[in-house]
Amino acid sequence: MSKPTELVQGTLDLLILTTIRLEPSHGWAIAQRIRQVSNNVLRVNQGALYPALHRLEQQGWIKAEWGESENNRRAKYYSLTSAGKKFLQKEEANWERLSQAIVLVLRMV
Amino acid sequence: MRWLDKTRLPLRSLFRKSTVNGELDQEMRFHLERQIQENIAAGMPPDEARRAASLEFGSVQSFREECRDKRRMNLFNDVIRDIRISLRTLRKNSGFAIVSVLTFALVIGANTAIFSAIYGLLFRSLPYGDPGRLVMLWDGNRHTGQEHIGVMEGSFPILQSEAKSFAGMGAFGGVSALGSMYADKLWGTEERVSTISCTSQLFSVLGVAPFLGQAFFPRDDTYDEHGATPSLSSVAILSYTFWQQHYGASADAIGKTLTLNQFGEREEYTIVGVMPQGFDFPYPMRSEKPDVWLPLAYSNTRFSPGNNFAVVARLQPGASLRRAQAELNTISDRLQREYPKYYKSEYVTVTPLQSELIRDARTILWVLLVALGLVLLIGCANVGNLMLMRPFLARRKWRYSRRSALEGWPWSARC
Repeated sequence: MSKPTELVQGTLDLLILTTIRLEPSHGWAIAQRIRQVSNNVLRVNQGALYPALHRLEQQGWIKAEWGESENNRRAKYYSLTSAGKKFLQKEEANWERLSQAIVLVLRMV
Repeated sequence: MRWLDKTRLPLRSLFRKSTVNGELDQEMRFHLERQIQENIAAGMPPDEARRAASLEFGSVQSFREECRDKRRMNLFNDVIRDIRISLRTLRKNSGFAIVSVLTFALVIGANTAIFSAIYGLLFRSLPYGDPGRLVMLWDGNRHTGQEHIGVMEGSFPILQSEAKSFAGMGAFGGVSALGSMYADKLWGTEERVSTISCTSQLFSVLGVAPFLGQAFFPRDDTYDEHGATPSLSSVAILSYTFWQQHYGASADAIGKTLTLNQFGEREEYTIVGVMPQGFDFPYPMRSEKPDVWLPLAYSNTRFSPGNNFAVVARLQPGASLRRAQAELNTISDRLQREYPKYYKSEYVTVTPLQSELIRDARTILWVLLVALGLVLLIGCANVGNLMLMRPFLARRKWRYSRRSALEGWPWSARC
């Protein structure tokens, strides 16, 4: 297994918001999903995940609600706010542009 | 509305700190459990699974502490930081700071002083027993359109005996109920003595009794049309200061004679009582504090139509102002039928005594309030101007120093 790539803070926010956009999830599910969809490359650990979630909540991009999980335990579910949705759209477009630009520069060399 | 979402968490942390902390714990525990389950499903033995999961969990603990502290400290830190920045700025511009502080001090000090003085004067609580139930009665005339005039002299005894909403009624005044007090003099001297006439019940209505001697008797309230009763015009009650000054504050003042010069006539009065210190009714409704109270009498045979009684009354414990007014309306209707010549368009109103005191000054008070408000605004505008001026002042200083560097000494103070 290759070493998990280090994630920049802003990128992690983006991943979390995208994951939540599909459906509201609790912290554990978000980490799982990111890992699964990225083929085990991106592994977010608790120490990074929860601070990020807290920060996103403070900034008003996501909101949290307590609910029942799959195994009937209480868990905190996070969902996107309307401001968060707009923010996500903007950030996705930015990321798209940025990564294309990086690829161009890399190819140029 | 992003601000709404943004403030949700901080507000929650502020007002429900314990639950927010507890929630974080619960969330962590849930994650830990799921991680352990995952590890076991991946084939790890249970305790290995638990240990592996807890390893990650450790890094979260510090986050938790950080979270808790951050929530509490953020607001506090911001305030401290702002205060520090403003203090630093003020210290750098000490001239500006001093002038602003002085401006505000002057404005606020002046406002407070003036307002306290006015407030103390006008809104002071009446020093009479249970002042909330003291009221005044005033007449009005629908025909002439007059309002707030003295109660008709002839109606007073009828109102006093028949209006059951009142526990007592007293009148004061004389020739002109709304005018200034008589300027009598001490007989044989030029010394002014301010006197006011009042009926016997006035003191009991106010709840104050003479501490020496006694008040007037009810028989002092009436006079026989065909010859003055002996006690009329010949008893007097002194005020405390008058008693101190003229009778040496001695108890044997009772029974002594007070001789007054009333409109050039020599009148003798027997002193029957002294009021306690500080009692000065009807001040401040009249312009002076009275030295002597004399009896006020109405005819018990003739209906006198003069509007010259200022009436003070005390409401019964259960009565309301509205009920009293209704009763007065009934009585004045009756009086209209009985004395159509004098009482045709007359009516009686009742108002709280407290509002009488500030009645005349109300407009002045409002004007003063607005003026003080404007002074405050001017002070703020001045400080605002100073703040705007600051960059210009600084630039001038710099220009000065440049000049002197170029032109050298002596440098003339030309701008």
